[in-house]
Amino acid sequence: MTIMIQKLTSKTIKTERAKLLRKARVSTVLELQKRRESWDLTIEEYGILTRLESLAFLEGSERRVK
Amino acid sequence: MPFSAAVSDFANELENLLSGALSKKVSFKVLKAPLDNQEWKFSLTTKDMVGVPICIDSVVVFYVQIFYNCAWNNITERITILESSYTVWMKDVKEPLWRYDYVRDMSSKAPIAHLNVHAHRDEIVWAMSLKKKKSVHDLKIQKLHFPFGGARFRPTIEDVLQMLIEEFDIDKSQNAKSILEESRVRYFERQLHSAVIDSPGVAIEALEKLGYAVSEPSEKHLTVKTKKRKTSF
Repeated sequence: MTIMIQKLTSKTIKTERAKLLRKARVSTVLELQKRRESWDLTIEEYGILTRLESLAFLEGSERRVK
Repeated sequence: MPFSAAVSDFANELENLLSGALSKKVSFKVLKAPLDNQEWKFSLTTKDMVGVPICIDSVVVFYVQIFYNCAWNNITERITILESSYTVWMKDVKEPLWRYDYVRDMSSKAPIAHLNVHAHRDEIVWAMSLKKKKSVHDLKIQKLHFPFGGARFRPTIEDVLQMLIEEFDIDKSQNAKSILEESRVRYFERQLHSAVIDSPGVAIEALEKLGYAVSEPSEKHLTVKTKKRKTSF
């Protein structure tokens, strides 16, 4: 089985981020993070949030523990 | 082993484990980005945004979301899991049931490996309100981080799946338990390997008790500073 490994650059990270934000119908990751505070997120929105946070991780940011 | 082969092995192991134990195709996606010339960071998660559907009598009841954020060092040629999360959801419910998180370099006071349970218990919330000034939003059991095994012996995805099998009798393959057990052995041996590197003196003592003769290397190849790994909760 071959696993696709997608190589990202700072430019493609931005594109990926924009795609995920569009999918969640929000303009920033903060909107989803704020909704996580009260767990007002669907399973899919949480999946998008973890992917957005993984992009931040790939850029070198720390993860916030909830 | 080169980066792509090691990451493919890791992702394949996960795919085989989940697909084999649950008798359904589960696919993972890997994103990677360079940290510097020697290190790569990569994230690994299910291709499906909602995670892995878990059925009881062929009806989807749970979803398990899995993600790993890892680093690859070109010199040591080792994958290090820096963060992982296993979140169990009930279908169509806007809050997880429970989640296991691991953050190796934890900057908050939370245990590096912990369990959050999304439940209600008045007595615990009352106790939480006694000493620390908390907002009403923080007075929830899910805000508690129950420590769980530290960096080396934290719960694994095999444990999460087996718990669902044992407690909820979820749909599984006929040989699910042996697949999980074999995978757990591989994980445990890798962790043990790292634990030996953390504490070679303890390993030597244990081996000598078993009758092995262990000699010191002429030069030490590894300088490890893992005190935090052993003392963190």
